[in-house]
Amino acid sequence: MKKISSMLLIVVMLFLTACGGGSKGSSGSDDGPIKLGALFPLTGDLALLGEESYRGAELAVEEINANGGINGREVELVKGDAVDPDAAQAEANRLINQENIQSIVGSYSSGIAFAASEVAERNGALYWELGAVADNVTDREYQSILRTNPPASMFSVVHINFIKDVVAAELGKDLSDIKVAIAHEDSSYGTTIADEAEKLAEAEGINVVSIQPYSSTSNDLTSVILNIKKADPDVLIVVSYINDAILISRQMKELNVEVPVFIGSGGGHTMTDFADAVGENSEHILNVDFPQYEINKDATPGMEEFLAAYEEKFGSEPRSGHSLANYMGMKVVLEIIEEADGELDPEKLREVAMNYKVEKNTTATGWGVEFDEVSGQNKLSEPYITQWIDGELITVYPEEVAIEKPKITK
Amino acid sequence: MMNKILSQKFLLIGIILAALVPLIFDNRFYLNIFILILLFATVANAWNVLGGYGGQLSLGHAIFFGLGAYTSSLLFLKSGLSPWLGLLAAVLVSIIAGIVIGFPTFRLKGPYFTLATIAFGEVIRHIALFWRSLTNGSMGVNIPFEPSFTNMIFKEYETYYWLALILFLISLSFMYWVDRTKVGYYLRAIREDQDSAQTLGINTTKYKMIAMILSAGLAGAAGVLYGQYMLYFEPENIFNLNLSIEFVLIVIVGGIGTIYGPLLGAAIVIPLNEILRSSFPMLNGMNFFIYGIVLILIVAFLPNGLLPFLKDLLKGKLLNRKRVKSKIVED
Amino acid sequence: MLLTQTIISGLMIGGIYALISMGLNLILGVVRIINFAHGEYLMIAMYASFLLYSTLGLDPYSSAIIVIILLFLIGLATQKLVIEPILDTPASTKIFVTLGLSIALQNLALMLFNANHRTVHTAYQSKLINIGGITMSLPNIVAFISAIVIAIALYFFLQKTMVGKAIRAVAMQRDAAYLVGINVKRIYILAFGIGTALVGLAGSMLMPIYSVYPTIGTTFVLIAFVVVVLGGMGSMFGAFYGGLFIGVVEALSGLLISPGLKEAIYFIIFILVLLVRPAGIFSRGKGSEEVGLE
Repeated sequence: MKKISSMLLIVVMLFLTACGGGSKGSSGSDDGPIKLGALFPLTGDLALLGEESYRGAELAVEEINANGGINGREVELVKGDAVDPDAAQAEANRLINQENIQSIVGSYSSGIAFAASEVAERNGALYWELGAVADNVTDREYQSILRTNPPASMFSVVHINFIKDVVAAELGKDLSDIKVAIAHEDSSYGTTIADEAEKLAEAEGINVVSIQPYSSTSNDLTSVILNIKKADPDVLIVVSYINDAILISRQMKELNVEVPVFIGSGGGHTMTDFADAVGENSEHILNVDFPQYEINKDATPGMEEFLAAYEEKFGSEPRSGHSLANYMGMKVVLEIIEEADGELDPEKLREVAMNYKVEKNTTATGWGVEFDEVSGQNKLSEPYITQWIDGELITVYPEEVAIEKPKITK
Repeated sequence: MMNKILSQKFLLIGIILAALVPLIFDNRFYLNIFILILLFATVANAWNVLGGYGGQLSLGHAIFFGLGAYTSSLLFLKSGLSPWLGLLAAVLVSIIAGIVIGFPTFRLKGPYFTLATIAFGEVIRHIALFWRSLTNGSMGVNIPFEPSFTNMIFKEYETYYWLALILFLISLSFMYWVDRTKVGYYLRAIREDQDSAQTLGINTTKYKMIAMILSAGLAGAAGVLYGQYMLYFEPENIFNLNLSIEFVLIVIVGGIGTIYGPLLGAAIVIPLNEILRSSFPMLNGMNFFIYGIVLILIVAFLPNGLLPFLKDLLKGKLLNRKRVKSKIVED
Repeated sequence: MLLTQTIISGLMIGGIYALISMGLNLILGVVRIINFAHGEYLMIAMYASFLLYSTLGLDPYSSAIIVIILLFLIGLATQKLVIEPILDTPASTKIFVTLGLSIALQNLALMLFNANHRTVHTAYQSKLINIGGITMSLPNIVAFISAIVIAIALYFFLQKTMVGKAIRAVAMQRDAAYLVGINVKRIYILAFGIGTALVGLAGSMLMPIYSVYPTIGTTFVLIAFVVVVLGGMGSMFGAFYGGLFIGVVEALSGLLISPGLKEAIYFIIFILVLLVRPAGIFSRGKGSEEVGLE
């Protein structure tokens, strides 16, 4: 018996060894397509926004290919289903070491960004984050990371600035009299944004009266809502995925709980499915998030083309701004590669990226581009504030991109 | 006697071959898969002691794995303790958790025990998410990539491979020990019929506890290496029920209650995942759909796992050949 | 006031848990299989309800009977084609077959419907009932009442009808039931079918309350196991009370401790109950310990 076991062990080892000797990717050549990796969660709990994000990156690549590619070379996105950090780690390894890909884009989720960028750092590849927000992703100061989208701390800056600039005046209260409550789902996305908001609010002397973490897979959030009712805030900041965003709005209605100012933070609150599910309950909900589509189009040149391309390819309007943010980020990646003459060497590319500068209000998101030398964070990207008005998600803040004034009723 | 020497020879050749793998081909993609296979096979071995030999179907082994990773990493990040020492602490913490969980739940039978282990896993996951001052919550543990021996972080994948191989071999020797001593004998008796085992005078709780200690400790050690290799983990992935499920799945696919089943299972399940993930880029969900179907088919058609099936196949062939030979002689 | 509202809201969500758990209870108690795909049957029921709404314009309540029949048939087929062939295998095998089923069904839904959240819109959906300042939503009350009706109906079905008695006989003593001439396999198929039909009803009741998406089942499945064990395996009223109990525990611990810990708390209570009284807190019988012997 044992002999057979040992023989099997050897057979397995030989088999694996044989596999190893097999195929080797061949994208190093100069005439083939330019291969870039794309890691997004395409199945599981994060599939909805993960796919929406991927769509944006895909559209940017299709656009450049329709215009003749980079130096005549086609760009190919090799995608991996990074359903969780473990899968992200394995997929990043595959893309870098098997497909010989030197630049990976991703990822919508911070956990995936962490896992994948560790692999990129270790293998000397470049990791471009287009959508995940945790500050730590860039705070690690890895040479391998560049991020085009704004981090969580920028979200909270906008939250707090908005409260300072607009809410305080509209409510006719002093900043120190304004009570803020925060409810957030407890994955890294909700936690980082809530943490940053809390820190900044306290620094500004705003009174944070309640913080309610909860699991986004929960089927009942009445306790969150009743705790908020107890705290009686003027402003409620919520960070949610979609099912919890829907649940909170519905249950607030059920429990007759109203807050003067409700600020979502992207994720679920800006999605078309959210508006569809809660109907008129979405009315006047504010959002701090990536740019959405009812916006000052002069400040976001290229957005119309994006919308047209999106509708043509997917047969519907974008489900949220995630696709747009990833589209813009992907275009930045492609343009930097173009400036590097199609050279994909990570060090060279990072150098080009550092010299790559774009003014604000000249891209489809209205963001500029200037990467921080040390952290790799784009310093000129920022979230905007939108508001659901008559079923449309209208940009209301800051002024240079707003098309309406925020509606705040006391 | 002959058989034993022969089998030891094969084992030795196997180990040498396995140790040479990184030198034979220098491809990090495959090395990464091998590292994961060895790590998961180690945890699967650990599970096999309790679940395969002892028949205690735990779906909570991510607890020990995760506690191992958290213990050594937090000690390293918060007080600079080298993960090599952290490893000892991690094994200890995992064992304590094993005792704390095992002590009350060993009275439970069948589905009740399984559900209790699931519940423990969920409790720990939610506490790890909530207790942010200790665990950093869902933002996870991120160990900075500063390669050095004392940090147990290495530039080369080879080092991790060899470490994982050593850990796996340690778990394998424990498996041999369990398999060949009265511990394994008693555990099997408990698995087959706990009440009869008890009537025969076997201290069932004691032997289950031995299995649990071994199981939890090994899983914890594997967790440490996982943490040092991945450098990032968070409660949602390391304390996830799905991870516990994957450990057990590996054993079931390979062969429950066999020494080499877990390795075989890991060598199938992990590459399968890898292949499926990259095979259907056009249709999201197809990969896991096929995974689910394959899982049903494997488990339904080979309920004892692949290894016993292959053994039977090989034995059957050998026997047939012998029969044919003897027939020829007779003729 | 706040406390009363919390308890009432907890009871309302508890009614939903009860509704989902009663079917699971039947499957776990009779077929004795930890069915991880239970949540996916709920997902299928909700998609069926949604499709009947979006294509034929049928309201979830009026299409419930179609969904129930559909789920009943799916349940029969599952037991016949998937579970029956593996009945004699170890418990671990059975668990992994249902897990495989769960993964396959979730991703089948993802392929068919993608990950969008689908919602039905009805006039009664946002109707509120206000009693002395305590509010409840109409769909929640409907779900609650149907949980009561189902618990009572199942009780009488199991106690008074021949088929029901046969089901109970199989649940208690499989071998003895076989010896007295009960067709055990057929009873299994029937029990599984009734179990999934109940999930069909649950799906119809839930559709006005929640949106449906491929992984919605996973958010209910573990809680359903907790409810079944707390209530006592095989006891329908147990599952009902168990659902209400967990609903209230969840709401109260969310209010008084932290919403971030409410899951941890009901799992801790679950473990404690398992240890102290494995037959469940709401069951008088000892049947469930026998199930544990499997």
